[in-house]
Amino acid sequence: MDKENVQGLVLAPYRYRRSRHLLFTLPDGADGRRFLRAILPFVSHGATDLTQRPPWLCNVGLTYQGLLRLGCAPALCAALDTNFQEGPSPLTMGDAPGSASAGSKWWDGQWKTGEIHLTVQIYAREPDDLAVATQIVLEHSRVAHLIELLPRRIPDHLGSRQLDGAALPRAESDTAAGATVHFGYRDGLSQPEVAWDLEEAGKLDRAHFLLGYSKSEVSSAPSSDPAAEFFRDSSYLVLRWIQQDVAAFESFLTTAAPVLAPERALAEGREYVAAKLLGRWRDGTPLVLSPNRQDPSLRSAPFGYQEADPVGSRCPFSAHIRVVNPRDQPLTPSEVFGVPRVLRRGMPYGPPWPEGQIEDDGIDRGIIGVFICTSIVRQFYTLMHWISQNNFSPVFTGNRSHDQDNLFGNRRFERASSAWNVPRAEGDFVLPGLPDFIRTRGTAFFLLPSLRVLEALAH
Amino acid sequence: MTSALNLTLKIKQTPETLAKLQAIKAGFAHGIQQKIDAALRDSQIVHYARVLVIDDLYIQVITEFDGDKKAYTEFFRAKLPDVFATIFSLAENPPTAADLVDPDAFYRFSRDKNLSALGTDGLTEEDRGSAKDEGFFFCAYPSVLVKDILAANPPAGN
Repeated sequence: MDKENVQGLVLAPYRYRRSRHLLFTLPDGADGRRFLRAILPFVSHGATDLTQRPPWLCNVGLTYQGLLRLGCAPALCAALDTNFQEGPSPLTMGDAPGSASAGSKWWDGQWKTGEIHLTVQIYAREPDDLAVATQIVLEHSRVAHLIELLPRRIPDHLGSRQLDGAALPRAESDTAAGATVHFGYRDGLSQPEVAWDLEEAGKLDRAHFLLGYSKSEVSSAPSSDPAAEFFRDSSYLVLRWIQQDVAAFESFLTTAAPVLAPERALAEGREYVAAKLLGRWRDGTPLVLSPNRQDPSLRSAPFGYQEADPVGSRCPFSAHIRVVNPRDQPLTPSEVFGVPRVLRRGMPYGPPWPEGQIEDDGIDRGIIGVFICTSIVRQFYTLMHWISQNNFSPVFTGNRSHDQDNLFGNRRFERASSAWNVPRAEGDFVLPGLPDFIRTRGTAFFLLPSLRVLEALAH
Repeated sequence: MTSALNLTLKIKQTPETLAKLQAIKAGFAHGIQQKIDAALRDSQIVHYARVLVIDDLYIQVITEFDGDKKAYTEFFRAKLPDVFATIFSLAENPPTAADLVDPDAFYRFSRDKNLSALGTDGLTEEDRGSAKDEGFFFCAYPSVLVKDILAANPPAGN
C-alpha cells in the first residue's frame, strides 16, 4: 500500500486537543477545483510526520453531489457505494420522526444535508493553531466563492456557529490510553488494529477501511475497475453530530443508584449504574473482567463474552460497548455481515460538566462522531440498526428483542422499549423509562479521497 | 420497524424466457419453495413471503420483515442466491452474474425494482432522508416482532 496516497486521518487518530469540521457548498465546479488546488498542499497523508506534532492537520471529504459538482466522471461516481450516493437515511439510523433527532431537525433546520458538498476536517494542538488553520482554509474558500454552511443556528458557549471539537482536560500525569468524553467515560480504548499492508493474524483486513481492495469476504463499492482502481486508497467518512444530555445522564445515575445498588453508598452506586449502562467503569475497566470495582490495570486487557459472561450478569446485553462490539457473542442468522468495525476519529465538544453540578446549565455538549469505513450498510448502518433495536443476537430473548443500546438508543424508535434490563444472578433488574441521553443534530456521508483522486479532481 | 418489499420485475417476452418461466412454475413446489421456507424460518425476521406471476408479464417477490430494508437486503442475497438468480434471470435487463454476488449491486437492483404502494408513508422528505416514499403500508401490530409472535405461539410439539 502506498501510504502517501491515503489521507492521514484514516491511518491513525491525531490525538490533538481541538478540531473544527467545516462544511461547504460548491456553487461552481471550476471554483471548487481552484479551492482544492489551494488546499491540497495542506492535506495530511500517510507520509506526514506526526512525530513532529505539526500545529495543525487537515483532511478533505466530498459528498456524492460534491464529486459530481467538481466534474468527477459520472460513470466513476455511479460505481460508488449506493448508500453513500443516496446520503444518510434518518430512519435507518434510528432518528425517529417526531423525536428530537428527526431528520427534519438536523442542522437546526437551517439547510438540508444534500447541500453539503465538501468538508475540511481540521485538528489542531491548541486554539491558536486552530484559528490559524481556519483562517487559511476560509481565506481560500472565500477566493473560490465557496459557501460555508454553519451547522448551529445559535452560537455555542464560545460564540461559534461552527462544529468545534475540544478534548476534555486531562492531568499531566495521565498518560494512559484513551481520553475522557462527556458522561465521564474513558473512550478510545478499543480501536481496531488494521493490517495496512499484508494480512496479519489478529488484525483487520485493510479492505474494511480502504476502498479498492474489495473481496468476497469484505466487499465494498466500487468493486471492479476502472472505478476501483481510480478510488483505491479512499475511504467513506460518516460525520455525525451527537448532542449529549449530561444533565439527564447525571440525574439518572442519582435516581437509579439507590434502586439498582442499595447496598452501595450513593457515589459508588452512581458509578455502578454508569458502568452497567456502558459496559466499562468510567475509568475504562471492563465490567466483564471486574464486575464489582474499578481496576485501571485492566483497561486495555482483552476480553470476550461467550465464556466469561454468557448471561449478561457482568456486562448487560444492552450495554453500549456490548451492542456496538459483541465480540464472540453469537449473532442471529439474519446478521450476515458479522460484527461491524469502524475507525473512530471523533472529538467531544463543549466544556467539561462541573463536578457535583445537578442542574442543566444549558450549554451544548456532545461528541462530533467521525467514523471511517468502506461500506455504509455493512459497517455504519448495521451499528445504527443494532443500537436502535437489540434484535441481532440470540441472547436477546423474549422482551429483550425490543431493548436498545442503553446510552444511544432513540426511545421514540418504533418497537423500542425504554425499559432498562440488567441481568442479575438473583433475578433481572428492570427499570422502566430510560430517558433519551443523546440527540442527533446532523449526519453527512463523505468520500475521503486518496491523494491521487484529490489531485485528479483538482486538475 | 416492519419493512415491506414489493420486488416487481417485467418478464422478458422471448420464447426462451417464457419457457423457462413455465419450468420454474412447474418446479417451484419441488425445491425452490422449500429452500425459501428453510432460510426465512431460520431468520426469525420474516413475517410473510410469496412469489407471484401476473399473466406471464410480471414476477413479484412480496415479503414483510422486521428491520430496515437497507440493513436486510443482503440477508436475502446471501441466504437465497440461486433463488434470486433464477427469478432475476427472467427479467428484462437482468443483473449480471457479477451483480448477483456484489452486495451493493444487488441492493441497487432490488431498490430500483421495489414498487411503492399507493398513498404515502406520511413522512417529510427530511425525516425520510434518502429513502423514497414507499406509500401506504398498514400493519395491525407495528411493534410486534416475529420473535415475539413465535415466543407467544410456539410451534406444535414444542
